[in-house]
Amino acid sequence: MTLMTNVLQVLLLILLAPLVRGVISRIKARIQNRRGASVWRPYADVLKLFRKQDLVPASASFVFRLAPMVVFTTTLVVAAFVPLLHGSALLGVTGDFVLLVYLLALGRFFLMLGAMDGGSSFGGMGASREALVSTLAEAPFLLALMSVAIAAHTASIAGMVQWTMGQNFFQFSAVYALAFAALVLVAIAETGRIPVDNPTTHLELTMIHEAMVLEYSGPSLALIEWASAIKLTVVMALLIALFVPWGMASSVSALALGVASLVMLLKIAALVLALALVECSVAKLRMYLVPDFLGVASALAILAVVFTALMR
Amino acid sequence: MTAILPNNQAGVSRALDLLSAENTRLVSIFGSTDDNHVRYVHYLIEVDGREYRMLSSPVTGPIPSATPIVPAAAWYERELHDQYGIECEGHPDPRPLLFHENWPENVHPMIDDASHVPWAKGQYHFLRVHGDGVCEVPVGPIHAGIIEPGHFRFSVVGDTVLHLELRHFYTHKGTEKLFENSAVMDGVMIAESVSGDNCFSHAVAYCQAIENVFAIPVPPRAQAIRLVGLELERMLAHIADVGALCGDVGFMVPAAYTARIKETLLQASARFFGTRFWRGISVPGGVTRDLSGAEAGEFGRIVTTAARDFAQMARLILHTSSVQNRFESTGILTAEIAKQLAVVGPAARASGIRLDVRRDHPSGRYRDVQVDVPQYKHGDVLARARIRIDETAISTQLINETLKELPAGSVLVPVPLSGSADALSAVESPRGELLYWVRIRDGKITRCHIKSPSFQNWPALPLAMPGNIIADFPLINKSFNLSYSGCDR
Repeated sequence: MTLMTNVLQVLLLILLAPLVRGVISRIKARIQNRRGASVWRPYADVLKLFRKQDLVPASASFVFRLAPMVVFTTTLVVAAFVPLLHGSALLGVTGDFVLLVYLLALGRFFLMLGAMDGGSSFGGMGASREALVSTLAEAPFLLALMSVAIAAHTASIAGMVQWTMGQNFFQFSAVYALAFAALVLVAIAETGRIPVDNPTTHLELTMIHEAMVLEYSGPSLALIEWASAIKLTVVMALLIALFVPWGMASSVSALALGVASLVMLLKIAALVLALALVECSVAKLRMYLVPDFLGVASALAILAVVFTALMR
Repeated sequence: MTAILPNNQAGVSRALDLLSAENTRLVSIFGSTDDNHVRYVHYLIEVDGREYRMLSSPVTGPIPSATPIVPAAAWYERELHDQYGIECEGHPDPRPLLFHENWPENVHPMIDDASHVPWAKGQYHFLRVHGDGVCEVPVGPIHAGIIEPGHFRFSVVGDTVLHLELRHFYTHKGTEKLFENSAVMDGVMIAESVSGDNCFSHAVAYCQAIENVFAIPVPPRAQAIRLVGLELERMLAHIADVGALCGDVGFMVPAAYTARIKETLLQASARFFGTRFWRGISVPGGVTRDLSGAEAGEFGRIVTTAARDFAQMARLILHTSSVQNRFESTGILTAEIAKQLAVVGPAARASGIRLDVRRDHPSGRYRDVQVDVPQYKHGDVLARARIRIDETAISTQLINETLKELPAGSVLVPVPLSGSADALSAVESPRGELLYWVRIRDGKITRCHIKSPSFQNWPALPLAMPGNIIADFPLINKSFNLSYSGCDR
């Protein structure tokens, strides 16, 4: 039953990810006084792309075709580390929070290789910008997770979630706020949302993530698009699991899981709404201010680690 | 106003003398041929900000280039060479401008037969920037958005732009040649096709030039309706531009709202004038549509509502700090460079150069109204956005004042279809000074020169780029919002 639940969690993350994207763009459209596309549109896009021809630039090597598969696979594996409905995940080992960070990094690394392999100047430009952003995001990502790990005395994500669930919300350590803030900033950079990157722009020169995937088409693009939708949802689920896990099922029964699913949907909906509101109320940062943005995340994460260590 | 100077060298050097004076601005340089196939060069110069003066001179051999004195002459002289084969000695950059490598170097369409031109295989050399870590980034001519073609070649170090070279004229259609031998009444349609979003300005500029040729008294009511159209076109352009600037920085709410506001104005135009972009409204002798009193009132109300909605959005934009951060100090065009390149329109006014044809060279109804000309001195994206916001309010006021006091009478008078003369006419299009010079012989156009503000302003864009990051280029480009088609003609 636990195994089935864990498999169900991963499937939910993978299958609901495009819907999360669709809902975000629908809410943004509403805020902009537009009707917006259907929330099911990302599914249609992925299906459409899977049926299309995969064009590979003449100059590209096997890396170009390999990259989308690596990106998709690593994102899938990452999804299997995140508890969604109850305090355990399909995969979990001691120190898996480090693994999670570097699995995401591995996918991004291959995406950058694929972008440069495509041979267009935009791909190279996007890859170099992505390299900058991800280098700067890596430290705060790790440190923020580490501060939670120190507090929970465990190095596995599922362990941290279980520990947090055992805490009283009202006696919650304030350093968690620091770690949470740091992770939110990292999540924005990591998933390429406004104000770091604009996922809906058509202006090649301003793109980061989109510039890297310009040369991709067909099933390869479908994998990349789906993977980035999963990544967004997984990062949201991770934020929820680490910082507001209350409401997750403590026993594996149909009723508890049903309630947990509802609560989780509400929490994701709240995050989606917050994301859409933020994205509609600020402009994208100047490219050279992105390091400052992640500098703030780093400072917060370092403080979180220091305070957590001091308060043990 | 026009002085024909007999002697080749002396004529040109008098024009150059005038251009080196402090109080002059180069408006245009263009060529023509007379009835005996003698080539002429015309220098159109604004003196004291109030008077257009044209110096014309027959040309037999090479002429001295004006570019060392006035950098703004660079593109005009290259165009002169491409069209008429007139060499400008001392020009720092004599590469072809209008024609690409597939066009043979010795074919000059304004003097040669250009109906069957063989395909040539020339070579075009971009400026090379050398040094450690300098990369070239070619962008275009095909772009991702639905925009016109143009090639941009950036030399960058990291993300910082050292140099930007433009390569345009992918949409060169030989429009000036197309005007030759067309009937006066057919010319409007060609003029309207020069630059789609400024088609009414082009139509009015052309019609006024024709009316000046034949000294046609345009009815005051037609002049008033033309003013409404011109100001509405300015509003449309400015509202769309401000929205697009927000779209470029990922601030989507104003982008979506301004698109909606623009659409209400287009629909109002369709409802009351039968055309969204005012095509076919202006014709030599007046306009083709009239408004009843009730219609004028309703139209004015729609314009006022749209302007109020836009002002609200503009406040939101100017008070959002993340937007300010993107706009401020981005893409600065200094007053000095703007002056050297004789920049016109909103870009000039944002760099502290107060030019406006409506105030400086008023024609039609503009002779009777007071036009405020806003000015900012910083020359950055924010200044250009502010100019557009301010001018939208001013245009709304002009439209409302005019609609309230529409003169009585007809809107169209007949045009004599024979006669011979030259004339020019200037209009402040949304992008700046737009000027038509026409020569009519026996009721047919033999030459029509279009000085388009985009042709004038494009060379200034690369000079607003160095030191900025390449990721800000779309924003800076949008803040100038120049027309490719209007430039390429």
